[in-house]
Amino acid sequence: MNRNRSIELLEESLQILRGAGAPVLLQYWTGSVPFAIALLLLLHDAALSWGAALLLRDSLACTVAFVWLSYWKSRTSRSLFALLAPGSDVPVAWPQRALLQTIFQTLKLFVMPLAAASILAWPAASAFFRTLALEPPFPEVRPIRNAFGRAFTAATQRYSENVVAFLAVAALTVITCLNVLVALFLLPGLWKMLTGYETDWSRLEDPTLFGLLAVAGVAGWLLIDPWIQTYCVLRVFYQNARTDGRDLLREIARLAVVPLLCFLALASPGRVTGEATQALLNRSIDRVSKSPDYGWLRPQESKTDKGFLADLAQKVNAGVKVIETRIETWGRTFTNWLRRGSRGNQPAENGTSPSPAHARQLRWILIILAILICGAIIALFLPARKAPPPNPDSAAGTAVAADVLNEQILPSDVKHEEWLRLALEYLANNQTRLAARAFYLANLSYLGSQGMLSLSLTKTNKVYERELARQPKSSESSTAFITCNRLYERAWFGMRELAAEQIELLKGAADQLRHHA
Amino acid sequence: LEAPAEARASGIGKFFAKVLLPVLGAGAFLGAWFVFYLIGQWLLRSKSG
Repeated sequence: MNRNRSIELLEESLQILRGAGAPVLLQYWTGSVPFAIALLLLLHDAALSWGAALLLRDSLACTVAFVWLSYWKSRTSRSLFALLAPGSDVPVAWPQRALLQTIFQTLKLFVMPLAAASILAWPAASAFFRTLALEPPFPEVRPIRNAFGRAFTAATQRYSENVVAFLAVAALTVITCLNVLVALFLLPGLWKMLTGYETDWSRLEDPTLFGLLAVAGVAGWLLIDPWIQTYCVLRVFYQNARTDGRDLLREIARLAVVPLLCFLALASPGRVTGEATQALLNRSIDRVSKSPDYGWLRPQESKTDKGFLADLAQKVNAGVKVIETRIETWGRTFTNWLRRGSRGNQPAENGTSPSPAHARQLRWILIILAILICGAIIALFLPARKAPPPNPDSAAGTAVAADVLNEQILPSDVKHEEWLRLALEYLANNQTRLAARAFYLANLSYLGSQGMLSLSLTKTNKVYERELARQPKSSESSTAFITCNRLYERAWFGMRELAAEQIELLKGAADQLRHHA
Repeated sequence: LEAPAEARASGIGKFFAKVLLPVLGAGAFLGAWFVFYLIGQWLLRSKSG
């Protein structure tokens, strides 16, 4: 019974949300999208090495967005409730609503983690705070105390029904998130396949993965949360209806149309007869049904039949039909033109004489098309030529002085031979630490000039190593590069000189790198 | 701020609208800021850990 009722409520809430259409959803997303962006910004900045400096600013942005979200969630809830019970919405000054919601919803930040950890309390806690979003419904003396009382009652009544509904929605949220995640995984791959450009996104490294998960989670929440909110609003409506009977009014209002029509039909039978009676009756029904008192008749019809999506689908359908007709017309014209051309100098079957000029045109067009197709096939099967490596002369053309201590120089700004010369100089002076760095820069410059690495001051050695490992047939050069890097890191960051055998190892690895890369 | 209609005449209503609600609201705002700051701290620590 409870299970069926929960699913019925969920279905009805979805219908209500669909019927409410774009205005209510836009109202909701006006509040939730800035919060989602602020939250993602916080996650993004926390991953940066200087994230600690941005934390205060980001957390403040999240708080402001949270207050904004609470306010708009409350407004959306009231709009939804007003759809169910017209006339129940009481205008409340926005500062009062914003302050009340800030007080109510901030408690959620403290309570919900505990409720989520206990699992069993989660549906009731969530329903509690969602019901609070409806406050303040009526002007009263003790708004906070009474609001808590009402929300507590609403959240704890029919607990098992609530649990079933929340579990169902949670499962749907997971499916939505997975769908979004799959799309996020596929898009960069498609982008790479179609354009050939590789981005951080398509590499799917660990930080990117975490970002994708966060984006999928936030997108799932944005899509599903309005539905859960509508479910809670509907639940409150039915719970209130036990005392104020609004649900009965809603049903009776639908039935009221029958006596009304009977009354209209019987109101003036003596004055007019036959077709005149019918026309008069139709006009009267139209007039009465347009009056504000029976406005619920129109939304009820439009909710089920003419929602925003239905309108959109109708427009898309009409557009597709127009395109279809146009393509058909073009196709028919082209086919006629071909028929006329293919007849050449022969007399036409229907007696119209084809023009020889037309046939010649067609022949030339066919020849050009054949040439283009052959060219495309040849271009497709020709071995892909590698882009020429950047000219080392032009790279070093900026005449940057080789300086191993300057960390702002990009290794590719100086020729790798120049770095090697410096390395040998340092070795001759027994400055092995500086020599190790010069070898390291020479390696990077060389690999950059070969197009095997794209150099950047922000990349770490780990990133370079992974980038090199992705290159085809790079196992030997990759091993040599890693050996050089470990020796360099030991000397440079460990602030120590290298032993003679380590220097030999470094030189050997650097030679091996040049040999294989 | 406009006090709730029924409570407008009473002193409690005025006190609620003029003093209590803004004070509680400001407190809640700071509380929310604190929670988001803690979340950020946790994210930073989990990254470095």
